[in-house]
Amino acid sequence: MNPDKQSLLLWLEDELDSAEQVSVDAWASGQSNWLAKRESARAWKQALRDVVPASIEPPYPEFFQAKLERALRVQSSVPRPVAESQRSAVWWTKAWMPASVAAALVAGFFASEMRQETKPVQSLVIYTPEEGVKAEFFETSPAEGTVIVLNGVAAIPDDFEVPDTASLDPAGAQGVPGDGSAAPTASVLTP
Amino acid sequence: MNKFLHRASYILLGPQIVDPPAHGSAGDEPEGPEDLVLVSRAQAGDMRAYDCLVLRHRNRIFAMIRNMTHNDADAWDLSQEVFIKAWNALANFEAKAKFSTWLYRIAHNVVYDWNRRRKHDAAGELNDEILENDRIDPSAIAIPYVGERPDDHMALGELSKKIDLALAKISREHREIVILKDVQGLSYRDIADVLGCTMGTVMSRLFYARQKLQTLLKDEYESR
Repeated sequence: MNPDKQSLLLWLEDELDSAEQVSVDAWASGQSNWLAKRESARAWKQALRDVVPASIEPPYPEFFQAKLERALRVQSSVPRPVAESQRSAVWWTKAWMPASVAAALVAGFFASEMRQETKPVQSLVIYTPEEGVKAEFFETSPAEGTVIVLNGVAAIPDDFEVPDTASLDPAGAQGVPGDGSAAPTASVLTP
Repeated sequence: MNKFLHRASYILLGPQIVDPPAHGSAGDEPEGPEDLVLVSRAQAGDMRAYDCLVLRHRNRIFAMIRNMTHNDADAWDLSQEVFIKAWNALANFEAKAKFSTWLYRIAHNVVYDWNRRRKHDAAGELNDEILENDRIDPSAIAIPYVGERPDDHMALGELSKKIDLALAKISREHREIVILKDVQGLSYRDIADVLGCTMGTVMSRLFYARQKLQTLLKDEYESR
């Protein structure tokens, strides 16, 4: 029996299951043109596969995995994929979620209020490039004050000239110096 | 910055092509029950299982996208996008189809969106499509030469280069179907799943795609 068109096309691509394959093979054994077509299709695919790779390792494969993993971990703070069968088991937890979130917000608010009143915040790290110099940093939130104490800094010699970075600009002063009406202004001098 | 690094890596190292039968190499694992086991573990939130799945399929997905985009850096980023989308949609994956077919479907959508975005972003710029052969007057004295990048020229062999060029000249739909069928070796049924069309459409589209490609490669094909 002659195979239908679809079976023939599948046969050309070697996609038939074994039973159908045997049947169409038997028919095609006397059909030289169809056998040639199949050979041509096989040769074409082989020729393409020889030059167009079906599998290429991406550049920097380790970085590829690491970047992907990082992106997925960031997303995992968002709900992770849950299998359909597991969804029914967690439905009741959703009912408690709004109440839990509200309780956590209230608790967080009171905790931050209490911390502000009792303790100054110490959030900075001071680095001192000069050996032997120790820096201490104090900050109080209620007073909005910040103090940095440097211990061990060498005394500034008397002959030290302050570099030309800033000075008072007499020309910019308004009024007569000494009469108390002058308003000195700072200006930056560029080299 | 990433794109720059990838580009530099391509120039210095070239595309790292993996021989298909290499046993145990990433991305070349055969489809099997292992995939389903890994998928169910990943669906339960096991990231290591998903990492294994990525390793098994990464190289084929990257190759498919790279063959579509002809650009390593874009293929790299788009492959990342495929696996992120797959992770996000993993809960919806049912074992009716093969996991690899499902991934190819996501890759198809990602490349489709990328093409659309690119067209949108390039509005007002030179449209590469006007340089395609089928849109050029056959009686034209000169035909614009769409040359490949110098690094491609170095990296690819003569025949490979011609096939690459011919693939770039056919339409995106035809190119995709040739890559899926003749390069990746998917069946008609799998391709119909990937593209979301009937097997008849796949058969007809593949016929015309091969015909166009073989016309473009006539001399090469007949000399083999």
